[in-house]
Amino acid sequence: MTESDGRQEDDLLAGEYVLHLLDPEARAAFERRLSQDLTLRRLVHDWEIRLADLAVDLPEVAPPAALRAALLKRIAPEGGDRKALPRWLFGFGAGFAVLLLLTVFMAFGLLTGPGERPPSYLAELVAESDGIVMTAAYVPEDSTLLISRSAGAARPGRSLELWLFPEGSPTAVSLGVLPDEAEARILVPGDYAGLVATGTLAISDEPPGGSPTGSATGDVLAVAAVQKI
Amino acid sequence: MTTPADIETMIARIALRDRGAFAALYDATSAKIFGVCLRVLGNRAEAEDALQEVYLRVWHKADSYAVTGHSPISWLVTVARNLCVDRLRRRKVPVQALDAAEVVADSRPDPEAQVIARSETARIDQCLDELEAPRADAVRRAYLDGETYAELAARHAVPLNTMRTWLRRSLMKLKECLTR
Repeated sequence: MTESDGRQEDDLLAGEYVLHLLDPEARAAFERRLSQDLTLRRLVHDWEIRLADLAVDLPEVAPPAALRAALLKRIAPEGGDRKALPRWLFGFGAGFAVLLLLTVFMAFGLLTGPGERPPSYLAELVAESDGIVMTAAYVPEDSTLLISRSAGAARPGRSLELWLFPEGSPTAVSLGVLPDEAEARILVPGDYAGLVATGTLAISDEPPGGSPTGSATGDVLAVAAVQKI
Repeated sequence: MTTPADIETMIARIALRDRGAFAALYDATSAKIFGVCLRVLGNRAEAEDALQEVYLRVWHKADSYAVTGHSPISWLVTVARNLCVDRLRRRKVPVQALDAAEVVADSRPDPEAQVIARSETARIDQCLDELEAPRADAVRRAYLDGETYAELAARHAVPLNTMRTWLRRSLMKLKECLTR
């Protein structure tokens, strides 16, 4: 099979995957590849976008008003965001989560020397536009973020800057410019250390050395909520 | 009027746990998404359950929107359709499809609240029209009814492998037409 045959086969598999036509075994095998292959994910997203138009013009039907109230109650703070967690996690493919965790444990197992504390929180930052795949794992005891970039880099002559959105805050605080190295440790300033676990991380494209204004000036490339491991 | 850019902003704010933005997104998009759930599941009670599940997933996964490259409506529709097809697959006994009249007779949404830019749907319909009718039908049924290769093969009275070959060729032609 030539390389171009392989690409076309992947494209067809991606289409069949989106249509949910693969048998359970082939589907599981495809999902295992998806969790590690950005190109394949791109193919899947392309098919999702193409085929979504089949559903976009269906007639609209107003749902019963009671549903809205029930839903808002379920996302209310005391309704327990945490309780709802396993449900979406399962729905979205527990396989992804497990693979991701394994990858992270392997990566940080190498990164953290003996006697160092393991991270308890994690965010996966993926910027498909720029081919960046990065995990940020947080060790609350040391107020340290362990950054591990498995793919991608800053745009030529530009820097990547890491941001923290504290929970409920519409504005981000800079956690600094990411070094070019694939592995990095970032010390979170004391004021913000307690806010990482419940916050959201983001990376943006900035001039060399970082944003001159204190807020993101370039494209926001990836956003990910921090999750408990 | 709610534009795709407005919806994108709502999703970004939802990723930051903004409940007001979540309510606004629900108001702007729920009739569209409920329409998708009803169409795929063909059962009102189940569609109501699915609708809640869709928005709960949006609440928890809004941060993954930025990386998919979807337009906001196409992303929501994809989340809804995938979830509904998952439900279809788990369903043990098939539920009788809703009569189309029942769906249409339902109260229509307030047009002001529900204005969403139309996507290039005419385009995919045109491209499907370029395929032979049974092949276009198979693609639609797989996407909107969650039919399997076995079901499609039985419907069109062809061997399963033939159906797979048909469908894969149709996908390539469709892609070629849409990127033309």
